[in-house]
Amino acid sequence: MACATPWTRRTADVSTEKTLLDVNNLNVHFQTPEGELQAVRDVSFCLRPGETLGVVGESGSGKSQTMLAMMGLLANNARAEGQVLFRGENILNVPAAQLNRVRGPKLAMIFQDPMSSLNPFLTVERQMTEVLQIHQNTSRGQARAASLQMLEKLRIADPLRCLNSYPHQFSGGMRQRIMIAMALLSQPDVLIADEPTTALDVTVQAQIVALLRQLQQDHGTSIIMVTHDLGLVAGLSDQVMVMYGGRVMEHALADDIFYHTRHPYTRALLESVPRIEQADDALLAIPGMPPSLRSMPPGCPFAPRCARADHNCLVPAPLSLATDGAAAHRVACHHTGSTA
Amino acid sequence: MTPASATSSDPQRLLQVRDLRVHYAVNDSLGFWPRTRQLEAVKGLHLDLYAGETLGVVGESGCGKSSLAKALMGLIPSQSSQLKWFDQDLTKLPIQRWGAVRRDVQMVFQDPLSSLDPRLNVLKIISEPLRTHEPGLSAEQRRAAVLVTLNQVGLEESVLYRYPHELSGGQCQRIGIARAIILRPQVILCDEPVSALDVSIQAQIIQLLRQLQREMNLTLVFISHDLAVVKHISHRVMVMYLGTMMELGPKDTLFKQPTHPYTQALLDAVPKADPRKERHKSVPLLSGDIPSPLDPPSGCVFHTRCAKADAHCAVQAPTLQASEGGVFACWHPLVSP
Repeated sequence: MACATPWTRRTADVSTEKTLLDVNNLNVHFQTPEGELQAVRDVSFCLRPGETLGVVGESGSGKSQTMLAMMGLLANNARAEGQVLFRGENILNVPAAQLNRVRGPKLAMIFQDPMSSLNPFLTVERQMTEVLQIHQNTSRGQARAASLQMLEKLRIADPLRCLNSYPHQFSGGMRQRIMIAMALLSQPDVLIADEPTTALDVTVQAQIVALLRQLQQDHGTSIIMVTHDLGLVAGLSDQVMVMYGGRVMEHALADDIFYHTRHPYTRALLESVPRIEQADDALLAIPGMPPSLRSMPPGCPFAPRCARADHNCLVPAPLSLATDGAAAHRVACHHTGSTA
Repeated sequence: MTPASATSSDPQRLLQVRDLRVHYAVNDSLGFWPRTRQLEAVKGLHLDLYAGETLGVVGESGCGKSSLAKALMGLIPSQSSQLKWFDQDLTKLPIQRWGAVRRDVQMVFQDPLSSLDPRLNVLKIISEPLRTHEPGLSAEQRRAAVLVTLNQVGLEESVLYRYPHELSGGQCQRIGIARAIILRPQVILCDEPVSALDVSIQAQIIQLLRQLQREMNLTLVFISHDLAVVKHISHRVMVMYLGTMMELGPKDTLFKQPTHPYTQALLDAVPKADPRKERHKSVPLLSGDIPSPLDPPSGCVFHTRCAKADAHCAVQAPTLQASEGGVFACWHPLVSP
């Protein structure tokens, strides 16, 4: 399938040109007592082997729901439409048995809160070996050996004791490393990391990021990094997708997002994040607050907070290639022509 | 932004803290019988707070920054050789009689929703300090005071009879701030006030705090784990690690040229929104996690993770030394004083 998404090659041994994951017009609706709400609108992107996609957005931007929809983990009252092709095979809305051939062994996910996503009643060993025992029919001994190896690789001190411990005995950073080890055990092709470092300290965050980068170099794993922190995406991503109010606002190569920002929201986001390398008074707050799903503006979701909004913005701008920008720089704004 | 900072001429000293210690008794037993041990969350901290300044406190989780704030508020028991509020020595005053001081020292909490009583409406939440400290006011007067304060924190009158769950995180935090400023305090302790908020809302709250500081000549103690946020609001910054002060100095020197290796490591770990630089970043990372405060390392508490540590650091804790406009505790400072 043709793919309009920008990409760069950073890992050496990637099988180029082949699309690993292709998401087309993904929509997510929720049935609620107040009626149907749409959390994700027309999200499309594709990912090649060894590539990293950064998905940036505030709460309610639909970034997590997009990932959950891809993994078939949406809540019961949710409905997903569109297409998620993994190696050319649709995995959206397929029976669980069919989905499980991909989910877990090929597509793995790390969740935001490492405490609540580990089972407090089971030892680390029980939880880690489960993946291999279920998906690859490995014996318990082999699975245990593989788990040990993986923990060693993630530089966890005393991996043997770690296997016999319970999640509460670890710090947040250690738990997150165990989650990563667990996700990597089956050597997935795509690793979805949903805010993997939000609950962690900066020093631990830096360790986790270095770890992800190392793993990507070693195995050529593709990573989807979901976060609200633009700084975190900067060093890790090849392409960056900025979401707001359930829509993709801007999608381009990382360098283009940071150095040739086209969308007013991306620009505002970059300016409102306090940065350590900046002078003090450069902090510009975005007025207002992100829209709730119940009261989504009819046109561009950012229009009520946007300084450039006018009557055109009552109609949502389609996500289209920036006219005079770099190739494959997609922006959803009526005013991009003069933004640069 | 030019409130009186530590370097300006003769600022008034509001708070003088010497050798502040906070202990918690924790049950460390794995078996049936309880075994209590003392966890020292803050170990001998010296601190001065000057009128009109913002003191930023940074550190990883478990470094004792929240315990420090709670101890200064008198919300948890603490020991110190000196705790002076203006000229009044609070060490001699039982915590139950701190009421008058608490009026002048207010607090803003981390989680905006859970720090507001879900069963009170906004009017009752914000006027509660008035009911405690100014029982003589009539309901009409209280309502008028609340309206003025709401206006100050940028909220509309229409939220007056709403309940916290109906409001967004940013609005809840504004109400938390309104509750803190309604008594016109001198000092506000902000314990991670923006870390639970969305990035675009974070900037609004930081600007609001800065604006209130200008208008009301407030002194802020701003606790956060986010160095960039602290840099944007503070005049002086204190770096803490395992209950000990590592470095305290004027913001500009501390962020440009840190003296303590730990400060440098913290600064290096912050990701920057600059892909070209960030991709080729090759700074040494701090290995491992912060040690358990139940078994703190001997000597300098940071020596287990420090790149510059030697045998001496493991034996003897460094004493506080004066640096350019501040103090630090390290045997191997990055900048010689």
